This record gives sequence, C-alpha cells and structure tokens, in this order.
Amino acid sequence: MKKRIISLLACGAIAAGTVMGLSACGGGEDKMIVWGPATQQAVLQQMVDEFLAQNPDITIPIELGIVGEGDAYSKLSQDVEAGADVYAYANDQLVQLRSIGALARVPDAAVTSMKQTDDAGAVESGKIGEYYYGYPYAADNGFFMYYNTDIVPADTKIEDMTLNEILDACAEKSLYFIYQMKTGWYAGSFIYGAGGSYEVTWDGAEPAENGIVCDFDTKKAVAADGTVSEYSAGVIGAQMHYDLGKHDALVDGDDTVITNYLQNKKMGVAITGTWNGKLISENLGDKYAATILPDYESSLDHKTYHWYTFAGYKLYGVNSYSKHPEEAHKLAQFLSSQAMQEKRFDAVEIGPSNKTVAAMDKVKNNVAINAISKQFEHNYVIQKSMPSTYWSAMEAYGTNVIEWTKATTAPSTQDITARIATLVQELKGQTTPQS
Amino acid sequence: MTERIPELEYLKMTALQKFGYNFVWFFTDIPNKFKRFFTAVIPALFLRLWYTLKGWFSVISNAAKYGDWKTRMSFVVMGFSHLARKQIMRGLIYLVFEVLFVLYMVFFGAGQLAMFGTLGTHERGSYIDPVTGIEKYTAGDNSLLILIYSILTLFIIVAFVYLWYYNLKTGYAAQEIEEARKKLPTARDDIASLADEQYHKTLLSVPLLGLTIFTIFPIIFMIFVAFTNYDVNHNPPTTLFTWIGWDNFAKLFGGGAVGAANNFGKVFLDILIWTVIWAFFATFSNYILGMIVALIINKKGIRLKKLWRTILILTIAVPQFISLLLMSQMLSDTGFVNTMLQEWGITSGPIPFLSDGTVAKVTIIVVNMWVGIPYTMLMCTGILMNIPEDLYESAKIDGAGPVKAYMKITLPYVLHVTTPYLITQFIGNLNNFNVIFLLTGGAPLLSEGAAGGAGQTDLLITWLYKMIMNEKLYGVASVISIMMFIITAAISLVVYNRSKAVKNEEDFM
Repeated sequence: MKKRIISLLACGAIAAGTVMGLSACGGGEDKMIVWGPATQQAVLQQMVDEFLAQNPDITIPIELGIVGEGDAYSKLSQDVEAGADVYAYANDQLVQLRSIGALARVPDAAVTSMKQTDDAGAVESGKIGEYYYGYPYAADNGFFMYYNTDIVPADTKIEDMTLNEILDACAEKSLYFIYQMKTGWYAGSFIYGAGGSYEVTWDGAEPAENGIVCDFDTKKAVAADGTVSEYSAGVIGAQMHYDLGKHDALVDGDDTVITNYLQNKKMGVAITGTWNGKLISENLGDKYAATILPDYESSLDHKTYHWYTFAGYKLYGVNSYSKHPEEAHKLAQFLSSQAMQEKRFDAVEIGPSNKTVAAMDKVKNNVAINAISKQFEHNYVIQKSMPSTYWSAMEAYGTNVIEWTKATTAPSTQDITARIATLVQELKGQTTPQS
Repeated sequence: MTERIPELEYLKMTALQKFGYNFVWFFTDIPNKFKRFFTAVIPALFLRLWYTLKGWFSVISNAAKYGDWKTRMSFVVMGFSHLARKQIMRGLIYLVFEVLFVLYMVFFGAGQLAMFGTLGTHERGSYIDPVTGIEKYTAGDNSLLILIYSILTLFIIVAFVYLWYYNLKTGYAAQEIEEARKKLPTARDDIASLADEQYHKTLLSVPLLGLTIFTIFPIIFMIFVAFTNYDVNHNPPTTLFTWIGWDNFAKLFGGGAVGAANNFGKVFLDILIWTVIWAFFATFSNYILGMIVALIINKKGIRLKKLWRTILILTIAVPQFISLLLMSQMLSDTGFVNTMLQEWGITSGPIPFLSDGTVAKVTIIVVNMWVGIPYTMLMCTGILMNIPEDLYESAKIDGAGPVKAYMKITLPYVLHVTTPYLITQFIGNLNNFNVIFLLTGGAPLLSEGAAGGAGQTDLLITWLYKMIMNEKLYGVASVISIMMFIITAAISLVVYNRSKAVKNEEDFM
C-alpha cells in the first residue's frame, strides 16, 4: 500500500512537471539580434560596440548570431518572428525574404543617401517594385578574368585584346583557358553581354502567372559600339559559347580543375570569382593578374560584343517583425556605412559597395577586388531572385553546347536558333527542361 | 480463382507448388480482401461505435428518467448530485472543471472556433510612421495559431462532453447507492481506490496525457493542414492560409506526367515504388546475409569465433552517420574510389556510383548492407546458440542433410523469434531517412522540375523533408504524411497480427 502511494505521488509530480514545463515557455528578455557570417563575427562585434558607443541613448543589449548571407532565408523561414532584427543576406534571396515578411522597407531618407554613396547596381539589387529592402555593404559576387601575364604580348595591354585573341595567345603558350561551360551561373553570360534580358515578376515567393519575360530569341544583339545585329542576342551568345568550347585552349572545369592546372603550371586564364584570388595569386606569383571579362568578336557577324557577369550583392536587412524598428534601421545603416565598409575590407577583404571605399588605394591594390569593381561598373547584370527552373534550364542548355563541341559537325545557325527558342520556353516555365 | 481449393488437394502439393499456389492466391484474393474490408471490417467497427454510443445514451436517459432532483440538477450543474449527497470532493472536481471550461470558452475558445471556418481574415498591414519615416506593421490574424487553438478547443470540448457524461453516470450511481441504503464512498475512499482497484487509471493517466499531446494532437493537426493551402505564399504570420477542400489530394493523385506543371501524381508513384523496393531489399538482404554470416561463424570447426565477431561488431562501434558520410565521400565522382580506379587505369572515367539513378540505387542497398549486417549477425548468433543441439542430432540420425536441417529446424526457429524484428526493420526502412539523406540526398533529380525537387533515390520520407524544408509545401506534404501513416500502420498491424510470434505465443517457450 505504501509503495503504491509513493508511486502515486511520483505520477503526480511528473504530471505537475509537464504542466509547469508547458507554461514556462514565452517571455524572454528585451534585446536585438544581429546575424552575420562566421568569418565576420570579430569585426561585427567591434562594429556593434562602436555603434553602441556612438549612440548612448540605445540601451538595448545587442547579441550576435552566426548565419551566413546565403542562409538567411532558410533560417528565417523557420520562424521569422524569432529571427534576427538585423541580418546580412545575399540579394538573390530578396523576393523570398520579402514574401515571408522578413524585410522591412528602407526609409526614403536612407535610400536617397545610399544612392549617393553606393554603387548603383548594389542599391538596385535590394529593390522590389518601387521600394528598397536592404542596405548594401558588399559587391563581390561575380566572375571576371584571372590571367597569367605570360599570355599578354610585350607591346599590348590585356584590355585591348578580344576573347578570341586571348584564347589564341593561350594556345600559343600551351596554357589553358578555364571556364565552366554548363553551370547555370556562367552559362548565360554571353547572351546577357549581347543584350538579352530575363525578368521575373513575383507573386509572393513564386513567379506570377506569365510573370517571366525573356527576350533571348527576339531581341536583336547589340554590339559594343551600339550597332544592332541581324541576329538575336541568344544566337550571338550561344555561337560564342560554342566557339569558346570548341577552342583547343578551353578547359571546362570548376575550382578543382583550376587548382589542378595551377599546380601543373598550365593555367593561362581562369574565369571565376574573388574566392579563388588567394589560390591563384599564390601559385602564379609575379605573373598573377586579373581584369574584367574581355569583349569578343562574333564569328557570325564579326562585330564585337561585351561579356557580362552575374552580379551578386550583400545587404543588411531589417526584420519587419523587429520590436525595435528605429534602432534596427539605424544599426543596419551604420553597418553598411562608408567607415564600416572600410573596416570590413581591412579585416576580411570583402569587395565594398561604397564608391568612396572602392576608390581607395588599398582596395585598388587588391587585384581581384579591383577587377570585380571594374567589372561591376558596366559589364554586369544583377543576379536577382531566380526561380529554380532558371538554373536547370540554363544547365540543360550549357550541356547541349558541350555536346555540340564534341560532335563532328558544327551546329548550323538554324540549330542554334531553335535551341535558343527552346531555352526561352523552358525559362518561361512553359516546358520543363529534359536533360 | 475465386475460392481456395479444398484442404486435401492443397496438402497433396509439393512444397514448391504450395508456395506457387499461395503466391498466386495472395494476388487473386486482393479484390476479396478489399470486399471483406468494406463489408465486414468497417461495418463491424461502426457497429461497435453504435453500441458504445447506445450505452452512453441509455445512461443519460436513465439519469433523466429515474434520477431524483439532485441527479437531474447535475445536467446543468456538474457534480451537483455528489455535492448534495455530501461527496464534496467529487462534486467539487466536476464543478471546478465546468467553471474552468466555461471561462475558457467565453474568454478564448469560442473566439478561436469562430475563426475556425475562415482561419483568419485580417491580413498583416503596414503604414509609414510620419515622424521617423520608418515602415511599421499592424498585426494580422495568424492562421496557424487559429488552427492550433481551434483543434485544442475541439479536444477540450470532447473531453468536457465525456466528463459531463461521466458526471451523470457517477451521479446516478451515487443515487442508486443511496437508495440501496449503502454507504457512499468518501473522498478518502476515492483516493484509496485510485491506489488500489483503480490503480490502472492512476498509472495510465500520465502516458495517456503524453500520447494525446505528443502523438494524437500532431496527427490531427496534420490531417487538418492537408485541407489547407498552407505553403510558402500562405505562410503565417505574414500571410494567411485557408481551407481548400480536397485540392491537395487532387494535386497528388490527379497530376499529369513529368514535364507537366503538376507532376505530383507521377512523382509520388515513382517514389512510392522505389521506397517499397528499397525497404524490401534493405530488410531482406541484411537479414539473409546477416544470418548466413552468423551461421558461418557459429559453425563447428571455425576458429577464432570471438575475433570474427569482434571485427564485425567494430562497424557498429563507428557511428552510422560517420560511416555513411565517409562512404558518400569515397564513392562520389571525384572521390577516393574513382580517383584510384582511374589512376590504376582500371576505368577511364568515373563510375557514377551515386550520380546515376540506377547505379546509385544499387550502391545504396550495398552500402546499407555494410551498416546493417553486423546487427543481424549479432542477433542471430544469440538465437542460433539457443537452438537445442539434440534437435540437430536427432535430425542427423533420421538422415537429414545440412540443407534439410537448416530449412526444417534453423529457419523456422529463427523466423519465429525474429518476425517482429523483421517487421520493425521493414517499417524502419520505409522511413529510413539517414541512409538516403547522408549518402545521396536523393540525387540525382528524378527529372528537371520534378514536384518537390524529388530525386531518383528519394524515399517518401526524404521527399517529404525536401518538400517541407526547401519548397515549403506544407499542405501537400501533409497529404503525403497521411499516406505514409496509412501505409506503415496497415503493414505493421496486419503483418504483426498474422505473424506466428503473436498467434502461437507459447511455441518454443
């Protein structure tokens, strides 16, 4: 009997514990959370300390959290209300973040000031409709040309050489030109350079009905000198894509291939981004150089066209569920200010979006960042939020180009025109790509 | 074949014929099984429900017909019958619950239930603060919370109705005891009885509460979500979601071919087929091979038995997910195995161990053997050592060879003991998230634009994960969860109940 009463009490205690545990949730102290990538935690802490020192009226404690720019959406979509007040994000998540209510509008006054201080592309990258949803602080996600100075003849400048000449120069020196032929991020670059455009109107986090506009097949290509070609932008781009793939000097490969060719001292050119800067400079030593993507001469109409990169930016966003919107906006603006961008560059060498910082000597002396800032001046197309079909359609198209380069006969202009028409259909979501 | 052949003819068949006959019978009998399910099983369930309800109503009508005024007052004021008969504690408990219920409904529950039909109508709004120029927000309805609280309220209502019925039952019982001039149980008696004849209630109350909160409530919630458009564009707290009827089911079962905008149906079928194939091979390959390994090690004359066993058990000592991640690295196109094969000149290009759909499926099953065989080996070793040696000796005297002895003694013995294990393994493999997620992550894609980002090696469970984590299609994901629940519940219940381990529990004991 006694035992039973004891076990009865035990059961009661468990039940009481459960009830208490359930009711103990909720509450929580008043604070602000800032998310930034792992590599920037130390400098971010300094910035926050400086912010609090400059604004003695702000007494809310500020906590840091490690969330990379690329993970902001996946993290916030789990529970947007519990997310950071201010966080760094990559601009290709803009639409998704906005659709879950994770982004508050930047006040008009702040927009006016950042339009003056920052790179136009960077400011635009946070825009949906007529409003802006982020404070840009980095313009560094794109590709440009690293090269081995050996390929440049003594009396010429690399900027004066076309892609075709660079390829031949590589072949002459038995060096290789490394480019990713089929990856969606790179595959569209020639077409954008020839004037093609791709725009998505969003309905929440998904493309609106008939919201995708793509003119690769209809828009006539525009040459570097402004003249209009008889061919469409898609055909001019695809033809160059094919010619590049067909060239003996071309190696289709990713970062591992770049490492490989560097070790074997066979790299002439690599088309890639800032993340490979250190690797390439260490291997090439004195011969290390980088510049913007070269222009190319089309084998179809012998006009010269630009070659564009996708441009990705990083911004600070303010969570619209923040309990301290005034302070949060102030902090986000502070974190993306000129002084902080310089500080960030000093600490972790991130390409700044602020025009003054980008023009500083120490930034210009960084070969890779200098090259990407120049690339982002003119020859770029902003990489906005893309539906996932974009990447698969582009990859299917890139794969197709590679198949052409391996075939014995070259594709006719009709073949290319037809493939571009298919690509446009796939991009618009009218058919799904089959690979 | 609409009826089984007579028993006598069946017994005349050879073992192989019997197997073939049973195999064909299983499939030809499927329509009958369905018929039986709908004509016998379901009506029986309803009949039982009907009798239960009838029992309840008779209690209520008895209380109304034969109850005195005290009992009848209990219809309105719960516990009145007890209070009036000086069973203060019982009466107070009923009364307190009634008061709490009314307060809950008035201040919270009714409001939630009122919005249950629409799941909220007020969108979140925004305005520009004229002083600071900062955009601020006005809170809207939260469909998710409305749904959760409504279900909670429904649970509470059901519980309350049961309590009300119980109040009438015990109230009338108290009247009967009084009329029989017996002594009514006091509060002390009640508590004592909870520790004595009603001890099962005491013990089970906590597990039951836990089961309701952590299992039944989520399942009910999931079923409700299956009828809503809860997805990335209807995502509380920023946007509302609402009821859409059977649309999610139609999406899943009425979809077009791959390539069409809605290919859920095709993808679901593809993945379901692979899930069943995987579960079958993963379970039986491990089981059979594990048993063979155990037999080999257990055989007389094998030396260093303990060493072999230890070596195999070492693979268990390494955490499963580390083994799997390592395998995934080693077998990738640029991984260790492929690099070596190419360096040695055995292959010219990488073998697509994990990047080609069909090859990846085989790879997964083989890698799973590495992970699973030691467990079966370990378990079978114990069972094998338990089989009485004299059975084998007498079989030998009767002239049975090793194969016969295995088929007639070892296999039945092991199968009998391990059927429940096999079932759990099969069900576990249907939902084997780890192996697939860590080895291939479902890759390669089933087709470009496949619904929910489905891959060729995705199981339903990993597809579900992708659908929830990446695509945020909560509504459709709920339908799939329901399907999975039905499939696994049906298989486990049917097979478990038919297994010999349950039917002939006393055998081999």
